[in-house]
Amino acid sequence: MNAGRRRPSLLLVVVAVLAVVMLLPVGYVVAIGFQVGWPTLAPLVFRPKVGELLVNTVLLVVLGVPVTVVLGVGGAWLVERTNLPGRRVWAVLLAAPLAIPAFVSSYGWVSAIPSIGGIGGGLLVATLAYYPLVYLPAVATLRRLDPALEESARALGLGPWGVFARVVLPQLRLAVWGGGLVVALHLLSEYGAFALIRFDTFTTAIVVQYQSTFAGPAASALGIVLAGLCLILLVGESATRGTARYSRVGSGAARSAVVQRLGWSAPFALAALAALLVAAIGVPAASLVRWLSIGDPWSQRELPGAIIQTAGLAVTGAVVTVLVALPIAWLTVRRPGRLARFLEGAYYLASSLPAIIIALGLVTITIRIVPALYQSVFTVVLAYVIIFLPRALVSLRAGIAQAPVSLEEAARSLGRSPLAARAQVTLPLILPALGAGAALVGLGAANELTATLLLAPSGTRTLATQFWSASSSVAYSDAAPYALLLIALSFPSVAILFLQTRKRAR
Amino acid sequence: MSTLTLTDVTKHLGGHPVLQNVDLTVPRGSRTSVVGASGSGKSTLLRIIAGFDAPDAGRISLGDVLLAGGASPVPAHQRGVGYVAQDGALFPHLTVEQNIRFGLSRPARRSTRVAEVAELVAIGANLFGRYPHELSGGQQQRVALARALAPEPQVVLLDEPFSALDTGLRASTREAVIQALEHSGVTTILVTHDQDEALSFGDQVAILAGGRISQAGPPSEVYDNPGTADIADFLGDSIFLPCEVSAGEARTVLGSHPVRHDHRAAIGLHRALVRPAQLAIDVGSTSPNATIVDVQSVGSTLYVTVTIGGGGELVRVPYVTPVPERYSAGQDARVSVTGGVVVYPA
Repeated sequence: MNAGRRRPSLLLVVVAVLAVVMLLPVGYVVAIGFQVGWPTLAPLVFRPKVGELLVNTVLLVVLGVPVTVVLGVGGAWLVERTNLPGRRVWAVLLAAPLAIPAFVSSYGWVSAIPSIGGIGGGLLVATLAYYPLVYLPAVATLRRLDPALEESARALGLGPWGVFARVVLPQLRLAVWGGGLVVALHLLSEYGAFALIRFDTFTTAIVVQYQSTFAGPAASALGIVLAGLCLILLVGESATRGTARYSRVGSGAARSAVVQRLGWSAPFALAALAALLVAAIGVPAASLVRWLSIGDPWSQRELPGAIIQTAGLAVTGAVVTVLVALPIAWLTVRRPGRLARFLEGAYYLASSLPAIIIALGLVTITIRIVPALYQSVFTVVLAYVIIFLPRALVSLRAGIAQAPVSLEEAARSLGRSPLAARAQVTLPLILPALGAGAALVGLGAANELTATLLLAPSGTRTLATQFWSASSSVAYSDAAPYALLLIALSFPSVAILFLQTRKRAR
Repeated sequence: MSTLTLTDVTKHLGGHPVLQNVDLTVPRGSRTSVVGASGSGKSTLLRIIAGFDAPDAGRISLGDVLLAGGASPVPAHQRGVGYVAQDGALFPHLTVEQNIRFGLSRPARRSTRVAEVAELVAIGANLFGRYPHELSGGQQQRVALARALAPEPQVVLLDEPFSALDTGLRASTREAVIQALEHSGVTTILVTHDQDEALSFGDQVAILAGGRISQAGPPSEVYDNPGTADIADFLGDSIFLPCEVSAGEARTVLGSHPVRHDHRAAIGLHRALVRPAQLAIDVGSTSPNATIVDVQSVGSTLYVTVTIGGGGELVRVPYVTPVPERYSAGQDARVSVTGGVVVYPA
């Protein structure tokens, strides 16, 4: 028993130390704020420019989130609950924009319509890129809902709209809330998409500030306001989410749900979906094809090197992130408790802050404390770990939950030592989850722009940074091959997410 | 194979006592069932014997070997104690054959041991290539037993192995398992919450309530002579009638009955245990002692509820009858008891 008690506490220590490392950058930004002091910060925070940024950023969230919710939930309802023609194909296509990084989509729009910009342009580009983040959880929830509830509501005299409004929508609340929060956090942290169309938000302003004054107090002041906005969102979401749980009472195979006949409105629904997809996929794709056909963009010297460097950073980031995620996932599944929940929350908090703040924090820390690590592979990989950890955590938690302790115990009663039982039974069972988690992290890291720009060793050329330097200097044709490769890289992770959505339904 | 002995085993979980001073002896080659309500500590008991948990106090020994309670407890994988979990816990990434082979030593894997134990639990070789999810619930449990038996453990522990199966499958799987255990001659402990299962399983039944073994013995003995009224009630439908006892006879509203076993306290009131099977009902009697208040038909059995002696005592009498029309509410009837009763403090 003693051995059994010692092990989890060692695990706890490891997880706690990792949590502190994860929270370092955030803590440092805040610490710098205190160190610089309010008298220096106040004039930097309260100035017209910040007011303008605040208006832009808040408007983006306040208008953008509802639009993505309408698009996401509407799309999910059409493909899951109506007789829309070709709904299987639509179901896949509606998730596809997720494979186009927002800054690539923005590039597609701005290179087609150079005058695009302002809050309108920002909203257009961002909602088209991010509505799938609401769509996917909404689809998953709709598939999981017990159709008997909807049937009962019909039997109680509700019409199709009544059923949707009073039975389906309330049950979608958690999915919508969660998806909306993720969209809001993305809107706050997006840099490339908005910088390309010259729409100023806190994040773009911090990068500008960083480029002119480095990690000075002005950048920190903006970072503190941005971090504050994120915290308000996180606290607001968890406060309004409540403790409500909607679960199916009873078991047995779920039947397929009631299908709503669209009738005369089918053509309108089809037209709306087609318009959405033309804007979200068609325009970027058309731009891409156009720029790829101009000149000979594939012959750029830097292309092969960028592919190799991207692969190297992405694979390293993926492996390290999964190794960091493993102990916390293990702890929360195998030894759940208040402390485990608290530590897991710390990880998610660290990851939910914008990449720009994480990057800023790491820049500050490395320069002040360990200059040798400034702009090193170590620091970029650490940033990837902090940013993409949730992807690995979600995958690993599900995987470990599917390898119950009882199997290890069975192996021990059959003569295996605890270590051998884990190696021969648990490891093979969580291997797919390890792989999926690593793939999701690696693909995300391969597309990462903001932190890579700030943290990578000078001379580093990744697909994203090469794309960025070409497109921001209006060399649209040179940027096109990188854009195509970035989309190709995103595809597998979107496919994994989509399949997970389907799987959860079973 | 050796006798398994638990001495004074105590275990607390989260500050609550789960097992208190449990003593149990399972002679080698015998089968013991431990029966208790959920939360009575029976799964913990098995986990402690298997070595997944350690007791806070007390000793567990197998023959001359002290498994737990000594200076260095024997770890689970060296105990030679097989374990079959409630859901079978088959390894989902291994086939039936690989599952059964898992616990065998390398030389034994090449032997015919896998085929032997598979035959023992009636798993055909045609299933060897299947994965656990391709098996029925009953097949999964039989494979789990084969896997546990393959390395020839000294003791096999079964943790409610039939509870996940539906009624029809439960009986047939139980038969197959009992037969396999009989052939292998392994010492076995089964825990269950099902009284009938416990009473039909083996050589000894132990009743676990509130973390203590309240009674243990051969099943027929325990059923015939429950140590307390609570045990009697737990083991099967019981009717308790207030009684007065004198000269080996218990007098109740239903007459005078010989006392088979007497658990009276020195002072106070008493009650007599009557099993429903001992009751008979007759509406044609000239000296009725009860009134029918309700008649329910469940299949071929008729459940007649009567009030006895004009008082509030409600008694439900099962009556297997082809002619249900004879009984109806409001009728007077005579209820009589055959055989002796067991007397407890009221």
